[in-house]
Amino acid sequence: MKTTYGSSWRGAVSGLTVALASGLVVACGGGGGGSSVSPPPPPPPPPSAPASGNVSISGQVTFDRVPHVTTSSVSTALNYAATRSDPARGIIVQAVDSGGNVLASDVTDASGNYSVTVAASTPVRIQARAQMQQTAGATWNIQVLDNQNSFAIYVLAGALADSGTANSTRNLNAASGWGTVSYTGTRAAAPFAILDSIYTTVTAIADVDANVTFPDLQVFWSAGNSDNGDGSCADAELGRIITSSYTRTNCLNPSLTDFGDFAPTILILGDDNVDTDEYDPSVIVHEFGHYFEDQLSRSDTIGNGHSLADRLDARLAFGEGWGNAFSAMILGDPVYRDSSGAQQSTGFAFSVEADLTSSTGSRPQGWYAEGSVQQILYDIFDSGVGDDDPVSGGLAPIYNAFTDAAYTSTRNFTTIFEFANQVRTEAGINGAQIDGLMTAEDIFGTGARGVGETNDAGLAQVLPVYKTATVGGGPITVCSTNAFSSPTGGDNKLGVYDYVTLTLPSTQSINIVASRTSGAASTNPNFRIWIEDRFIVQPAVMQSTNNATWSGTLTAGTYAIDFFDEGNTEGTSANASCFSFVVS
Amino acid sequence: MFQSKTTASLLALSMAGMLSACMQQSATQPAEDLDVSETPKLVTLAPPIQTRKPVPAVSISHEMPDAVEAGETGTVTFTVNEGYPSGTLVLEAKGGEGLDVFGATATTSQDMASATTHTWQVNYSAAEDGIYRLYVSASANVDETVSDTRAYAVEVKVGNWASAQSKPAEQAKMEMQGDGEPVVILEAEETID
Repeated sequence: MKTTYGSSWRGAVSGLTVALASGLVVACGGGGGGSSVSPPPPPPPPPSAPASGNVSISGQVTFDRVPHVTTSSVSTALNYAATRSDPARGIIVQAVDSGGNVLASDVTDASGNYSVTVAASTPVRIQARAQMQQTAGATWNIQVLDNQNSFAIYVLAGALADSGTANSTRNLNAASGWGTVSYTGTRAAAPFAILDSIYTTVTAIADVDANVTFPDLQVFWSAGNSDNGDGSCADAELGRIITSSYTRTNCLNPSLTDFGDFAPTILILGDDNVDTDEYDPSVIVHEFGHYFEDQLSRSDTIGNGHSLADRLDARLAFGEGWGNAFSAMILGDPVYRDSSGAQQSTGFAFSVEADLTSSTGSRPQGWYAEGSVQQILYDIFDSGVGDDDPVSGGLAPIYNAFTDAAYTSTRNFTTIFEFANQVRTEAGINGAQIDGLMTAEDIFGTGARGVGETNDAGLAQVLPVYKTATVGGGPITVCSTNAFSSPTGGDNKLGVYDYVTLTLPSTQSINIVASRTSGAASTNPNFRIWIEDRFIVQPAVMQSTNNATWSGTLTAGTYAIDFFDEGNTEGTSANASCFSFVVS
Repeated sequence: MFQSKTTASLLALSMAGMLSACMQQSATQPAEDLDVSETPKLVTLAPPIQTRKPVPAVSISHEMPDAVEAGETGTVTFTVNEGYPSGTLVLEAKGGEGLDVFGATATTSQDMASATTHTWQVNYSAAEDGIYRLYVSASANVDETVSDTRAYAVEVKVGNWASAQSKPAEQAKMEMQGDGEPVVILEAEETID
């Protein structure tokens, strides 16, 4: 006979029923959700009881997956009527006693199945942590935490029930909480839906690199996570996370001050009727793509708001185009879908395979456009039906380029130029074909610094992509403008930062002076001297109105410098100014 | 008295308090500096930035009265900025539980070819004191391949909203594990055979 326990959020667990495994059938409360959910597939039969006074408890852990409507390339709505139970793959399942002490644990397999052995005739609760962990081969440890409740981990809990004297089966399902037209119950499935998208991602990467080590990752999700706030940990505790994003935080350990020790963190929206992302795998994998860049590769992106219509700083354009393309690669669907609005019935979608400039003139293409980057990267990856280009590389050359030491240690910024320069050296990649993909997106520069680029987005000062400075070589002109400010902001668009490359043949003491020569009367110039993905902070750049200077000793080598006017990066003014930049 | 608030995307312009500390603070970077063997100078790992999901080229901000009395009509003025060269911008508003949104203002269409900034006024009222959510969406309909929607919500205050809001919010079920780890309990739908 079968016992089924309800899943009301309120107060049920503290009074968890101790029941015999041979109990009666009880109607399922369902937590207000799951009315349209098909039952999970039957678990494998329990093995025979061991002879040592122990019994085995096995079963399957599932969660409600709400898919998108996919009738067209612009469909974004969540289709609650098509909710199904999917296996919770690779998550930690524990058998605990009444005090929450772990008696046994297992990790679910690719079908969501688990098995634990516990003492016979003992009260036991089976619980599934919102934690994916693998400790051999490719390794990872990824948790979903409630940022509105002390950053505690979510745990899907069954009832405290006697283990009996024979092997038994306990299946757990995390309900969506959806009623008829709204969420009426606990959204228990959300953390597991998020983890499932990540499981798909890490296993795809593990297929390319069987020994990849993913640094620990935490995901903050709460049903109250909304698109406001300032991004601080204090605001995160209030559910004010700005938007779904990736960053590194010290929220769980505020004493940390070294950015290198900050924990990789993905934040996911949960504000129903406005924007929820737990059932938007495109968003989750996109943000995981940023984590991948930051933790396993190299990312110089400057972050913040962006859209396909924007002309972006080239570092940001590359990072975001990568995130979009990566989600398409992992999910096997070139259409990126992000649901939002009333009942999650609207949203935002686009195909990374489509030429986005064909009908919507506002979506530019070039080295500064995420739409171009996503199309190039996806074209390197894709093959078979729908592939409209000669490159069919799969994930391996892309992964290998991202993790190649030549790429991660580059003394240039990570842009489409740097990546194309690397991926063309990977096995199975034809450099001429990469050139063809670039040209098709109006990207004409060559090499890691885009030498000879002619696409200036209509603003001549953004070329060349890198200005070349030499010691004693006289002034060069650098500029900063917010000419490409857009509805998504102005601090991170093309032209705000001007890139300079400086090569020293030997260790030298140098002075760098940037002085305003034209444009706004009052500017606040600044620049950073980068060594790979780090920049010099001491000696500091000395700033005064219209001037910035730096003096110090640099060893032989190439340095990337990004110059900017803080009036543009901090939004305190909207300047369009140029400066002389002298290295002596 | 009016409050104003800007969408998350526009807040990017003034995020000095972000956990992803502003890169512009390089000269006063508080992070522990790291020695790099190849140079006598000090460098630091670049501060974490926040990489965000892509959004439509639409931002929404609003202005509204501090509070209105129960039964009175309040008006929220929305400003929608978009980056589409043509097409129709469809704006829709809907009140959350207990909030009425009424009149012809609840839905409107505007031509995106004629302007990039659109203002829109939405009237609302509620019968009882409290804080209510007003949901809006802005859909940029360009052609059959582009229909981008951005959703947004504001909280409107009615009457003696502070006391009306004093009832405690629903709390997650927290539990301490045997090793002292706090966890948030999500009760499962469970079958036992």
